[in-house]
Amino acid sequence: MKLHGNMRLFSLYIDGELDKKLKDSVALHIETCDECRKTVEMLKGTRDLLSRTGRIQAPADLARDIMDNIPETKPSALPVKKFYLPVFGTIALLIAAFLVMHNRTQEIQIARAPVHERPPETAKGAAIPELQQEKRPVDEVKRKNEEETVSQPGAYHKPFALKEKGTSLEKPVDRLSDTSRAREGTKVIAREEGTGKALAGAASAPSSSLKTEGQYCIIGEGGKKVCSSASSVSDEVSGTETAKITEARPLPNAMVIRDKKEWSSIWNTQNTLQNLTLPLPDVDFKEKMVVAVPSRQADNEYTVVNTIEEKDKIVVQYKELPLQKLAPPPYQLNVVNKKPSVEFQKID
Amino acid sequence: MDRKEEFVGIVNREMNSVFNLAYRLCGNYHQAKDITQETFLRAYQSFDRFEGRSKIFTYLYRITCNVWKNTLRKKKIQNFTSYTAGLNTRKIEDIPAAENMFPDERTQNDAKNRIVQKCLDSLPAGDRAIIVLRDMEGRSYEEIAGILNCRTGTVKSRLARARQKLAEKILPFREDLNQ
Repeated sequence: MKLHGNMRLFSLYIDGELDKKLKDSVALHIETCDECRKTVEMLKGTRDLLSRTGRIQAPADLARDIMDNIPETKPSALPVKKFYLPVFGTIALLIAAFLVMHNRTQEIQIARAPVHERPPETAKGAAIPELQQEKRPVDEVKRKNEEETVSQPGAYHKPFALKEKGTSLEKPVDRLSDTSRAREGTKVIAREEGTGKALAGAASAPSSSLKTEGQYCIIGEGGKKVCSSASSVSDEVSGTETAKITEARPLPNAMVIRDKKEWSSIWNTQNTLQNLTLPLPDVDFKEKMVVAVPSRQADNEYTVVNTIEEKDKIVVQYKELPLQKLAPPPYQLNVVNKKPSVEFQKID
Repeated sequence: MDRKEEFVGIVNREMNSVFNLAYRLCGNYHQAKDITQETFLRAYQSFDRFEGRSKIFTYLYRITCNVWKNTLRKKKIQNFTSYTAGLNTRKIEDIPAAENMFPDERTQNDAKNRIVQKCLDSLPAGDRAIIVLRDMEGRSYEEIAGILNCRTGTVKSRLARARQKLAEKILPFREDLNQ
């Protein structure tokens, strides 16, 4: 250790706080080094001067003044000064907001249904008369019979059934918690194809930029939008958009979301409209896309029955029913594997 | 004995120490009195939470230092080095007596005290607190660390620095002080 000019060491030395070895080293050094010896003497002289300085006597009336200032009430266990009130208030509000969010998240009751295998003949659409004229070879069929629901206060509760002609694949999502039933609220939320993984959140009205009355739009990568009405597809932006919708039956306002920006936009808008603060589910848009199916149009409501993954497209099968009294959530969001096109099929 | 009676005993026992510390820190008699009153008021308000794990003077000194620091912030008197300008050339008689002194104080305020206090006042606030606690109040490194809420190693380093600064400021008055 360096001794020469080491002020910290000298300060400890004059206080007698060094161990014997170090103390001897410093003593030896200051014997041979005039500069350091003077420094040590100066420090010691200053310390001694301070310690000799007399204490100031407190004013005679100070004790009385102190006691006069002390309130008669008992000492506060937690004194809250005016200065701290805004701070405590802010903290309390933050904690309250956190608890509300936390409770709301906990209210999301996810019910998972068992995976049902779809009979091959129905997978090809043979049992669906409306689709027979547009039958296409199905290279790969993945049935996602796993419906996931969340309860939302005041939301619409409707058993979500998967039903096909001649089959008994009814799968009512009727295993919601009592809490969710008591609230009369269940809504289909975003779901991920294949894994059946629920993406917690709520669906609501689409953002105005996405909504085109009488049309359904594909939000392409880079935010480009392709909207289609009836059976025609029009490219509003340019011809670079490759995604296409080929529909068996038109489904107005259905959307395919292919990038995070639009996903975030619609999710936030829906949250806002429904006064919710659910976090944005993470979707890997390199591999996935989101199909948003409107839950109601005019006097009808729509229920996604099935999503089928084919080689170059996703087939979304839905049912159209008369509108119930309680309004369903604006959109049913389905996370599916990314494909160039999406086909909407109405089934009975 | 209820808590208030117990507290009155503490006031009588520790008042002089607290006042002396406050005076050495702020260098002003009136301000020291205010700081002392504020210290005991705060101590009383949180007295139920004092569980005796630290010594009572540590508890009071910590409050005193905090009250003093708050006073500095309020008055924006952060820079106490202004007096150092030309300090080395001053004589004792050039150093003004503290303002608004009580008569009692005048008798106590001898030349040495005035020099020491003025030199202390010229130190930065942090250095002043540590040197007053160690060299004037005689507190251990551990106690100072507890009062100032820092580590013992920090106390040692800062004390060495503060002593060096103070020694340099006192040096011109060494002859007067030795008289």
